Amino acid sequence: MPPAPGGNSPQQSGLSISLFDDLWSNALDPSYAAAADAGRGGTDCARSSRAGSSRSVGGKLWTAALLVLVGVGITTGIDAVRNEAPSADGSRAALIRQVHAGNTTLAKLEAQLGAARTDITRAQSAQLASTANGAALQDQLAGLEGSAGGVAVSGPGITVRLADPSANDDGADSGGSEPPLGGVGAGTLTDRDLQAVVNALWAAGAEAISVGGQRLGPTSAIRTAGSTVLVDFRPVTSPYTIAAIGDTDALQAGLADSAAGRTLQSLHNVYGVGVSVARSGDLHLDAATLTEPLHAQPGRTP
Amino acid sequence: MIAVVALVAGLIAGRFLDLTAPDWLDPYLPIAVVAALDAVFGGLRARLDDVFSDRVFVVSFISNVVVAVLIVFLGDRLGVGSQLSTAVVVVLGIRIFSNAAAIRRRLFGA
Repeated sequence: MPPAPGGNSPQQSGLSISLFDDLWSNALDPSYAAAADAGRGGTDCARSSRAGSSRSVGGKLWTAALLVLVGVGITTGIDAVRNEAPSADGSRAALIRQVHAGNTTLAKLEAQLGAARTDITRAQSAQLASTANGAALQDQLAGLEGSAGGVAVSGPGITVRLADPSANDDGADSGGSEPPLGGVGAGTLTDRDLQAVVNALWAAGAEAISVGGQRLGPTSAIRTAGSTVLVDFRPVTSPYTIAAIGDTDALQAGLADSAAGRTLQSLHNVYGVGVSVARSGDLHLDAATLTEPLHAQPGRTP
Repeated sequence: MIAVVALVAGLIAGRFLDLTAPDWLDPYLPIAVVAALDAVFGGLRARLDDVFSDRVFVVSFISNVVVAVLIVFLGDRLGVGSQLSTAVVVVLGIRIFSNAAAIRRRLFGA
């Protein structure tokens, strides 16, 4: 088949062009013309003769009703788009409200728990103090509870403050994206750094430690969820304050000599992590929330 | 004349009645409106060409809206809803533009 005169368009684009052409030139529904022709009874008279027969009252009402519908649809559609953003904000606000309400309930329950614990302790000591055997038991209990973190304690110790490098150092991306595991890339402190410091302090003879105000008990864990450090499932944020009660000199020297201390020093030098150690004559640490062991039972020593 | 009054009345009613589309209609309302606008522009052009017919307008309007919504609904079910919406909007958009150009030529002779 010879190419069309004047048209050297390749075969493959012919289809799309004809589609577009068709769409453009037949934009007016052909049935209008057909209806007009039918109205004129097939005669080829002047165009100004209206297709009058189809303009009944019912048809006019239908047209008007549909146009009202178009108007309503346009405004409703605009409203729907406009209301989308507020609804997202609304659900966010609802979530925030839920979190606040949950925190309030939690605080209330914890206060209740603390009061109940105090009651138990008081009743227990009253009961034990009545007998000589009981008094000896109570002394033993007090010692055990103190070392387990079950009671608030105070004494001399050191406070280690660790702060993430300031945000302008490592760029804005550290806020949005999760820092890589280990935090070395961003220079952000992670659970591992805190664990290392806490372990070094225990090794240096610390008798009680709290991280970010959370006293560490025998079952406490320091871990990371997402980019947040959790101590006993409570989030703590930079700057992290680690308070340890013990022999002040031994704690300070032990921390400085430990691998954790050297790591902190290099983190400070390389990434600008804030590290400061302060001695304190009188630190107060709250009691840890101890959980009753469910499976472990007091057993005989081998 | 009646048509213009009806359209304005619809716009005002929609603004002040504070209607909200039911949830199941939400994704299809914009497509339905675009399809309806295509029919409206077609009707306006036919009116200027003196071939307007209420019957053709009503039929083309309803079939336009139903087919457009049906295509998008089917596309949603097949997982190509957004692509088909784009296709519908492109086709209807071209037709609206073409009709608008014809209306412009008719009204301003340019």
